[in-house]
Amino acid sequence: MSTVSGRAKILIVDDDRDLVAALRVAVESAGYDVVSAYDLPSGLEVAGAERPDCIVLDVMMPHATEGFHFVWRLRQQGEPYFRNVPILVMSAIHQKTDLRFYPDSADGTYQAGEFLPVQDFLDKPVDPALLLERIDRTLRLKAGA
Amino acid sequence: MTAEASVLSDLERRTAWFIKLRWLAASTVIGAAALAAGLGLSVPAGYILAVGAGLLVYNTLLWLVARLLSVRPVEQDWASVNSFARLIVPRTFVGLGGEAGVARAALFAFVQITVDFVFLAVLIHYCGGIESPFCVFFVFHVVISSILLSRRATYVQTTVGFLLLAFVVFGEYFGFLKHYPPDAFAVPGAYRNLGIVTARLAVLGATLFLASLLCSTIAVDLRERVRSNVSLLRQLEGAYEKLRESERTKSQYMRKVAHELRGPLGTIETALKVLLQGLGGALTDRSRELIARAERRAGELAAVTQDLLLLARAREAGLDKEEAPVALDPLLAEVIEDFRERAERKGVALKAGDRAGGVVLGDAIALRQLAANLIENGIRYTEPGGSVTLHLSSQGERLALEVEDTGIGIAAEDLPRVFSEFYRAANAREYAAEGTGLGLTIVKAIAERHGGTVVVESNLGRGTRFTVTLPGVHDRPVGAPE
Repeated sequence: MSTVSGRAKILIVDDDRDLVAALRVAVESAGYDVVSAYDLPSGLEVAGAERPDCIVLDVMMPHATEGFHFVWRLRQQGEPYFRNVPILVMSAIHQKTDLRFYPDSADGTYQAGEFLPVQDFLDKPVDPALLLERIDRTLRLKAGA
Repeated sequence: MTAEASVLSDLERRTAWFIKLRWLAASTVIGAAALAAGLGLSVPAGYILAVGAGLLVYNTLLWLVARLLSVRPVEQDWASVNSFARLIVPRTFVGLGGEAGVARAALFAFVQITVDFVFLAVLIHYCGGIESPFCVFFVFHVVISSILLSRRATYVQTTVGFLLLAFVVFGEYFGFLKHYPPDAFAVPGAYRNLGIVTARLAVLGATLFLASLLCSTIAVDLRERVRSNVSLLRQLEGAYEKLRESERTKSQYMRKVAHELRGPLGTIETALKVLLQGLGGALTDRSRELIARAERRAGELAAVTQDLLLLARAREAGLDKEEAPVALDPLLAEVIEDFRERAERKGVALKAGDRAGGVVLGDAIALRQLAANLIENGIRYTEPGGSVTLHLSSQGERLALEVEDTGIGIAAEDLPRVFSEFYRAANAREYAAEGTGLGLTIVKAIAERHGGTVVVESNLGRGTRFTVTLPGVHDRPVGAPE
């Protein structure tokens, strides 16, 4: 949901506050509003309260794969917003597991029953330019949907 | 004590024991001759006494020689030991080191046993030849020979003993040797004669006691050896377990440290990139240059951290991890595809050469990493216009993965060290600044964890070939039940 000023709102969820600060600078520089959270409960709370247009999420948070649970719990909520809000996952976890959690499609949607129902995936360490490009693409796909 | 010292001292100890036995034998011969003379038995007691005395003198000489040998180290090496001495050393002892010393001790034992046979033949001759109850004494020497010397030497000595006995027997038969009839043992009604009964009993008793002495000494020695081997095995098992534990701890520590470093390093890289990409505001040229340097160094550190994590993972895989069948050919095809763009960007041809089907039991992620590291290495050190080719072939029970490039090559003096942690050859450092020096260490660790090996061949300036061989799983398709 865009803000009053018409700018898209991005929620960044990561337990690394320094990384959130760096990404906030990058994302704000592209003209988005940024809200942030540092763990699963506050992430769900901020998502519910702020209704961001896109969520940038870290997988590995203090309680192991908290990011996975964030996604599953968010998607389970009844409102269509929670099922559709685009999520970009940041992680280095694919380097040490053969779990496949890339989305099957590249059209900003995910399939029912997919291991991790998210729209996109970014390697850590995150390249800010790439992150902005992906946020832009995700929002465009969402707008066109 | 080293293995070679142990073998030598064992042989010397047995030789010393042999000399002690001979004191007993010589005393028994002298005592028996005196007893026979005392009892008035019709035996050539004088000659027998002379044999006993000769044995005493001869054994004194041996004792002196043994003492002399024990303080004179052997300076020869095995190659210069003569062929006869080589034949009498038990084969089990060859290859443990110190064979020249063992050969000298074995030769000393061989001479003793041969001379003993002569003494015994003479004694038997004076005690009745073929009728002598001492004929069985040859058995003792054959046993001793079989303990100390090689099987071939034992057969040679048995033949020598037998020929000596035959010489005495046929010498007496044909009359060129005088026969000394053991009347004492052949008198009718001898069982009523105290002297004859005592003498015969003494010979039989000596035979029995000597047999039990020989056998029990060998048995005790063998049991001691088994005991010491078992204890050694336990120590080895303990040491091996400690080594594994230490390897596991080291690996876990390395993984923990690398993991702890990776997060903050990623944050530093991202934060510097935000600044460098001008997202935090305009930068002066000097600031941009400094931040670029910092970002590059953070990237290098992150690469080392990542490789340390991979190395820890490669070393831990196999310690605890379950194995699964992995089909190599499709896995390699995927890795080639992953690197195709990078190779094209550099102008290096990435080719799939010979392709054999084959399955290995292992960790698919680690095996993919192994192939990726070799291909990445090949592309990195190959000039534009060159090529990197992968071959997968079957070599009997094993599968061989070859990654061959036409790159800068590795100098002969660097080849033995290319798999060492953090080692980068001088020409590699000069040619490509990036590189952690851990890529090939990871390859080796993964190969070894899968029961495989990796070898490298290279021509400086012409190219390098890495060959990884892994044990294959045959006749069982992927996913089929065992």
